[in-house]
Amino acid sequence: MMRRFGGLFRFAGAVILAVAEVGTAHAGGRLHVVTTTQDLASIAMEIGGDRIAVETLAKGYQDPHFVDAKPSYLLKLRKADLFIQVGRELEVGWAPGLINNARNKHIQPGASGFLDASTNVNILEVGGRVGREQGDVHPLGNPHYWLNPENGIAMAANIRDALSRLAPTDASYFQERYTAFEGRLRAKIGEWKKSAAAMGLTGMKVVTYHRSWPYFAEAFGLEVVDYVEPRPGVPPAPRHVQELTAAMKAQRVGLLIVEPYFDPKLSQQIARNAGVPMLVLPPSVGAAPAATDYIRLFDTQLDLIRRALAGGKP
Amino acid sequence: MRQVLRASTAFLVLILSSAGFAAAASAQSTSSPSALPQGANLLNPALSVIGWFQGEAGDQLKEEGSSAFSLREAELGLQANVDPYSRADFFISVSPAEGIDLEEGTLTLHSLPGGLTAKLGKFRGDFGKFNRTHPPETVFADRPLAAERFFGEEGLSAEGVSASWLLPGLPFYANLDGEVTNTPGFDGEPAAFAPYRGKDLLFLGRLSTFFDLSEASNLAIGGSFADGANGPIGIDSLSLPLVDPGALRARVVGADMTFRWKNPRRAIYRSLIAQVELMQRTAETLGGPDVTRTGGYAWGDFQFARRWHAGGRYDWSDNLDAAEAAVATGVLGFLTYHPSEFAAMSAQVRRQKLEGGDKETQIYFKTTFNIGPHGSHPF
Repeated sequence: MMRRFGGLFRFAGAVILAVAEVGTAHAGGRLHVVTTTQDLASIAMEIGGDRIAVETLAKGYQDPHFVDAKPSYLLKLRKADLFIQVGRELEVGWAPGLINNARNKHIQPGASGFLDASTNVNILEVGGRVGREQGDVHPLGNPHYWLNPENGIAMAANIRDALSRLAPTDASYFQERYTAFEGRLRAKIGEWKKSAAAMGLTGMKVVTYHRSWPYFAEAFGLEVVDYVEPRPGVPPAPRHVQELTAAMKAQRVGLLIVEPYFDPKLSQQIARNAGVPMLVLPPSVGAAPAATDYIRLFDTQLDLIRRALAGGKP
Repeated sequence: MRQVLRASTAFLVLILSSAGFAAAASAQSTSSPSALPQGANLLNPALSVIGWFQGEAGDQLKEEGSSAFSLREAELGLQANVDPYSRADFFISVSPAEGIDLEEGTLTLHSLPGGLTAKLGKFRGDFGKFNRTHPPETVFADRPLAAERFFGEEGLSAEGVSASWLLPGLPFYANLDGEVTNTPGFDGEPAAFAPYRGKDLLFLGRLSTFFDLSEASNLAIGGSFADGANGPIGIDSLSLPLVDPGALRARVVGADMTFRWKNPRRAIYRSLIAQVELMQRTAETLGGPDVTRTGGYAWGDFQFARRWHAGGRYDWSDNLDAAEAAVATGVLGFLTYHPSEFAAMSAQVRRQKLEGGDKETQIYFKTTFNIGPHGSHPF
């Protein structure tokens, strides 16, 4: 038996030694960054400039909870120097399996090439009792934190630190770009807040389909009073629809916000019955043609809200 | 049976009380600084349980030992990183019929260079598409005829080592797997392989490829090969073995293809999976020519609403034990409702035509549910 398979073992050994020489180090000087979402990719490009090459796994128009863990993604992850995820279990259904199978020790959790961008971000809905009876809840808090642009600054700082760790000789370059991005973002945040107040968003009651918008509401003064989904990930039953419609009328809700990856038919019906404008609002970079980067995402969102409240077609 | 149940219950109580203790300790640690440090609990492995309840009606209930309702299995999963270089995964199945069984228990080395990973322990063989899936997690209430006849009711699973290599330099995903394991015994049932001596090993290889056809559709094509012992089981019991039966070998080659479609902009509402898997076994026999037997199945699953799936399967397989090739066929239809991501209820009907011309009809009601941390979505 040993003689029969001795050749096979020797061949396998030779192959292992040969491929071990290949290594996984990045080539050409540019760090290869892979992000789970286009929001992270946009901020990474702001900080990394021409010193990094960025690829993203999920498109902005996809539901980031439900992305297929396609084996083709492993080709991107295998050569990554830095993997960035939103974290807080947003990608728990697909990213961990990809990382496990990426054959890249540099991007495993705890390694220098793994970044959870939620570090140092003020996370909402943390704590309290957590159970599946509450739906598909995220035990580590609401993960849609990029929708408060103030959190974009903390995310950018996290990315700056990770890139500087991996390419210390470019640290000052990353710092310069971070400073410029922070300045532009802070200036835009001031503009956006004024614009939101001018269009009457401060204190406006809104209903959203999924719990994607508490950070956006926090940033621009909206009050989310209810959801089309009775619990996260649970489709609404007719009774909930009836109660929600009645509550929207009674509470004088100003807007119904729906993410683009949900079927809008039911929301349209609720909005029509409640006499409230409904708006499909892009929650991520790439979810609408105009939302081409992180700053334009908020420009687009506020423009769409303005038009919806004015009775125009979004 | 009573002893098995008692042992199963005791084991479950042990596991659940451990989890309960962990939770209690966690709660205590937040109120009392002198209590067990919270870090001790944070390092506990992720604990999950999948329950599989099944109701059945039909011709097979006439067989001795079968019952209309059964809690087929509770599958406990314990998973954690061992260190920065490796991960451990344990899946323990507990069932009234089979008792406690270590379904899989592996150490995976995921930080090897050159696109390699290695695994050791007990694991399901990477042959084809169906064999890797744990029984509660398949869409079917039964096993495809060919899968059952070639690899038994529990599938091809054994202790051994494996290596997996993501092939570099290709514009598409291609992965090569190689495994060396003990030859599994299949609980003495007739199957593709039959161990005779402890040193009789099973060698398995698989090439998996994956192609994105568009943003919404993709195609996976794979080929598998397994070479293992073909021991005394299956040899005419009246003839005395003239040579050491352990020297006999059996080989199974397989091919599989899976097409998937899902609009990424409406991922939770519509999807389609179509899969075909073929396998052929060639076995050496004592003093006679090699015997070749084939089997396969094709199935499809269409998600037509957020919570609803419907599909069907066509089976065909030779009887590996029969002296002459004789094929049995079957069809299965299913309608599945998912109350949430964490539970599924499926009504299924299967009609089989066996080699002798007998026909059997079986009706199933399969319910699965899982508790614990959010796992990976199936793909």
